[in-house]
Amino acid sequence: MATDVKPPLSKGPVFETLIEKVGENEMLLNLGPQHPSTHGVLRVVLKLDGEVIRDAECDLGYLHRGVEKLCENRTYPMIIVLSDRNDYLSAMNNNWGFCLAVEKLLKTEIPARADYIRILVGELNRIASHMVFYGTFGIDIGAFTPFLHAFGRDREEILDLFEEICGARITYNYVRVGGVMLDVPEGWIGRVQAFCERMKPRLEEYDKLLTYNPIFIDRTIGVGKLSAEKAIEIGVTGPALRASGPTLDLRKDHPYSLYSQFKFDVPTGKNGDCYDRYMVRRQEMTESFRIIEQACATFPDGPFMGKVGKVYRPAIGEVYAQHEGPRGWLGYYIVSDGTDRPYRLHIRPPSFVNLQALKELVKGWKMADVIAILGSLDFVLGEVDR
Amino acid sequence: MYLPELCQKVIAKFPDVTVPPVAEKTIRDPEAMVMVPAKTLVAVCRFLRENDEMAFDLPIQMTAVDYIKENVFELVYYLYSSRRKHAIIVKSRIDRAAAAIESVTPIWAGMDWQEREVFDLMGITFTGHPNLKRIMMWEGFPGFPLRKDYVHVTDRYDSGLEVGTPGLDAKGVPLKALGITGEAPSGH
Amino acid sequence: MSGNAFDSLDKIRQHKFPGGELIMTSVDFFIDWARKSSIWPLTFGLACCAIEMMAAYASRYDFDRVGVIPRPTPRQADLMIIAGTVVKKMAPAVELLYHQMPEPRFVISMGACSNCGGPYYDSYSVAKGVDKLIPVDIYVPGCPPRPEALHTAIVALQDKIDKYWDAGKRVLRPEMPTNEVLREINDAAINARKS
Repeated sequence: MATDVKPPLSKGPVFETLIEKVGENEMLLNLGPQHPSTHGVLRVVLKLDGEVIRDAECDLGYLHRGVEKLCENRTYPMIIVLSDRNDYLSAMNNNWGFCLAVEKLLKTEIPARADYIRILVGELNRIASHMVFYGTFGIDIGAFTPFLHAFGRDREEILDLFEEICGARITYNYVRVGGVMLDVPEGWIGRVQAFCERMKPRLEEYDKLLTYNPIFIDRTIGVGKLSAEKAIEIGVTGPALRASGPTLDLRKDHPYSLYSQFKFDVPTGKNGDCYDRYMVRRQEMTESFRIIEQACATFPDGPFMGKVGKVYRPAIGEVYAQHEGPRGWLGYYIVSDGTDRPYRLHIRPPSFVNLQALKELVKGWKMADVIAILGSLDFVLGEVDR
Repeated sequence: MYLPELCQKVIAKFPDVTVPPVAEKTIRDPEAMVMVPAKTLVAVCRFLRENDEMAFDLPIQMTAVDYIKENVFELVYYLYSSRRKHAIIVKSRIDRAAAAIESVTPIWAGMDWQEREVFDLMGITFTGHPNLKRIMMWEGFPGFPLRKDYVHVTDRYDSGLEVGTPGLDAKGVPLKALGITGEAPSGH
Repeated sequence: MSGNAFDSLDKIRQHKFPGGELIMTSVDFFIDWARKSSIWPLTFGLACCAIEMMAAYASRYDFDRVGVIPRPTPRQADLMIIAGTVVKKMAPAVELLYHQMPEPRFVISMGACSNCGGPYYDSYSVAKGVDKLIPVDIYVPGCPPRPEALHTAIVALQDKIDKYWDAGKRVLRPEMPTNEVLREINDAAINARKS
C-alpha cells in the first residue's frame, strides 16, 4: 500500500533553478529554507549580477500543513485551535477573525463585554506581534539589543497577561464563537493599565535604540520602495500598504466589533521604503496603547459569552469575514452545508499576499538589502503556507 | 453595504452576467455578487478594474470550491475598491471534467500566487498565467488535496490516519481500529 | 560497568572542581563534561515552537547561562532543536541539515507536531513525527512547550551526555545510530543512574 512518494530533496538537495535564464555574468544564490534571516522556512532564489539582485523567486510550501483540508474534517470549535497556529505571532487575532466569520453565519449577537475583551486582547496581541517585528528587524539590520528589550522583556509581560486570562503563552484558543472563553480575572484590567503606564517610557527607549539610530536610518531609508499603485495592485494590506501612503484600515473604513467607539489615528508613511514600514508599525504600537487605555477606562459589566450552544450547525450559506490583523486583512471564507463542519474553508492570509511584493522590491538592491526588505515585510510563514 | 446598482451596471454592459438567486434560509454576504460565465470572466474583470465607477483595484482574495454533487468548480473572486471603498464578489462556474479558466493575473498582479495555489491544491488550470507551477506541494505530488474526491497515497512519513486514505471513514477514524469490518457480528 | 579499565577512577570523577587545584580525571569524562556544558544548537525554527525557542534564548529565560548559544550554521552546531511542524517538503532538508552537523550530534524534538504530528495528525502534507526521518534524543511535549520545558529538555540532554560514559558507550560513533540503539543507550544510562 505504501507507495514511494518522495519530495524532490530526499536524495540530496535538488536546487531547482526556479529562474529560467541566467546570463553570462550572473549567478544564482539560494537563500533558505534554513536561513536565520528568512524568519522561518521561506526559500528565495536570487539571481545576482555581482552583488546586485536582478531577479528573485520565492519557493513556498515548506510549512504547508494542509489546514484548509483539515478544517473540512473538523467541527467549528475544533477549527479555532488550528487558527491559532496559522499566524502564531497574533493568535488572538486569528481566533477573532475565524469567530467573526462563524458569527456571521450564525447571526449571533456578541455581548458588549466580550467585544471589549476581544479588542483588548486583539490590540495587546498586535503590540506583541509588532514587538517581535521590532526585535527581529533589529537583528536583521545588525542591532541585537532591541530584540532583548522588546522580545525578551516587554513581550513577555504581554504574554503574562494572556497567560492569566487563558493559560497559554502563544496559542490561546481564547476568542470563541459568541464571545470569549473565560471572563477576565479580578484586577486584570488594572494590570493592563499598569502595563500601559510602564510601556510609555519604554517606547521612547525603543526610539532611541532604533528609530534615531544613524546606522539603522542609513540602511533602511530609501531601501525597497513600494509605490502605492503597485502595492494596491498586488493586494498588499496592513502596515506594508499604509507605509506607501493609502490609509486603508478596516478598523476605520469598515468598523467591525466596537472600533467605531474608539479614537485612534491610522499612521501612514510617504515613501513606502523599509523605514516607513518600520515607522508605521512603531506608531501603531502607540495607537494600540491608546485604544487599550480607552477600553480599560470604559470596560463594561455583563456576560462575556453570547447565547451559543456547545454544538452548532449554521444554516446553509457562505460568508467571507475579514478584519485588520497586525499584518493586514485577515479573512476567512466559509461555505456551510448545514452540518457541524464547514463544507469549504479558505483563509485569506495577509502575509501570503504581501509576500508577492518581494520580487518587485528586491530588484536592483544589494544582497544585504534583501535581508532588510524581507524583515520589513514582516510575514509569518505559518500563515503564508498554512 | 449591499449595492445592487453595481450589479445592474455590470449586467447592462454584459447581458450574460446574472445575479445568483438567494434561496430561503440561506446566508450570504451583503456585498454585491455577480455570476459570470467562464468565457466572459476576463472581460468582466477588466471592466471592473478599468471602469471609473467600479475601480476595483485591490484584489482581496480568490479561491475555488468543489461542488462535487453538481459536478462543478466554483471560483470566487473578492474585489475591493480602495478609492470608492466598496466590494464585489465575482463568481464563475466551470465543469469539473474540463477544469480550466482564463487567468486574471494580467489584470491584478496580486492574483498570481492565489491562482497558483488553486492550481496546486484544486487542480484548476489558469490559461494565460505567466508562471503556473505548483506552489505549496512539490512537483510530482499525486492528486489535488482540496478536491472532495482526493485519494491519499500513503508514503513513509504517514501514520495511516490521513484524510482521504482509503478505508477511513469521513471523520478520519480507521474503521479497523474500531473493530468495524463491515460484516454483521456473529451470534445475533 | 564491570571490567571497565576506568573503574578505579570513579571516586576521582566525583570530585567537584576545587579552587584552582589540579585534578585527575579520565579524558572521556572530561570531554563529556565539556561537551555537556556548551551545547550549541542550530538556529533552526520551523513554526510556532520556534517563537518559544527564541523566547528561551532571549532575556527572561536566557539559555546562555547553561552554555546554550545558537549557531546559524549546522557545521558549528551539535544540537538540533526541531521546533515546529516538519512537513514532507521540508523533511529532506531536515535530513540534510542533520547530516551536515558534525558528530556527536543530538536532536531535541520540541512540541507535539515534531513528536507525532500533533494537531496535524491527519494532514496529507505533514510528516507524522520527526523520528520518521532522524533519531531523536529528547522529546518535549506541549503545543508549544514553554521555555521552561525546553530548559528541562536541555538539562535532560546534559544528563544524557554525562551518562554515556557510564553506560559504556562512546559518544563518537561511526555511523548514524538507529532509534533502537539510542533507546538502548538511554536505558543503559537510566540503569546506571539507578545503581
